[in-house]
Amino acid sequence: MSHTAEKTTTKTIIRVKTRRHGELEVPEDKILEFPAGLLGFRDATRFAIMEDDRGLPFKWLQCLDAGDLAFLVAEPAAFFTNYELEIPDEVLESLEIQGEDEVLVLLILTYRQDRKVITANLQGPLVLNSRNQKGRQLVLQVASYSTRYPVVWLDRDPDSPASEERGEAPCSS
Amino acid sequence: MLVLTRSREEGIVIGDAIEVKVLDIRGDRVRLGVIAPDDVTIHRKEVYLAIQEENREAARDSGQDLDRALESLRDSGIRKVDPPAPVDPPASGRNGDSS
Repeated sequence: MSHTAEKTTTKTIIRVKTRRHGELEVPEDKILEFPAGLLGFRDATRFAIMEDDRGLPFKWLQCLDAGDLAFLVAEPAAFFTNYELEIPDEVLESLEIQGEDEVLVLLILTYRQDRKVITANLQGPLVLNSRNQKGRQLVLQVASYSTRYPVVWLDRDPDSPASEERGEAPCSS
Repeated sequence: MLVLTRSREEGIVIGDAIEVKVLDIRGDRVRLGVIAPDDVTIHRKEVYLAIQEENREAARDSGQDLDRALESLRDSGIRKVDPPAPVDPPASGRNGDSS
């Protein structure tokens, strides 16, 4: 991993060598800032969103402070018909969010190879202000929102009985 | 770790702005009240740790296996469902648990 910040006359560009996306040059206006980092990754404060080129509704949240660190993420609408999230006032204020149209919500995804399933972390969603590029990971106190909620099954017919897992069985820890 | 013994209705203060008070003790359960500035986040530890753990797991890039898995989704697509109904935990909230 290596990165250098380079001040030119008008803007900063971050150069970072990443495992998944090769060498990146990210201009300042594409840098997402998570001032508090992510839980367990306090020092990971700068990210960029990389599109996944498979035509799937997934993106990569690539860390610019550590090139090896990247999260597979997706907007809730990729999986859910009517996802709603109540964002505490304190979070809206800290991200300087002024209106609903500025809010971008991303869920961090985990591929569970053993079960051939992709789970979404519903309990710790990422909230971003798309205007000022600031973000934060929430900690929701919603009992039914698991950190490992299955959203995609990879080797099964989605209409098979496996879908009953959704209702009650988040993957156990 | 600093260890203090407190009784019901007693508390501790942390710095100038944070107060933790013992509201009730029933068996092995203790109800705590916390007064803190808005920008201090307070979470049940197990929830915080679960998210931390899940972040670590998500960061473990499964490389080619994940790529193959995503490739396979190209054809099958993703079926949308209703999200789980939000259900509050038995006792929740910054301003104290409802009993």
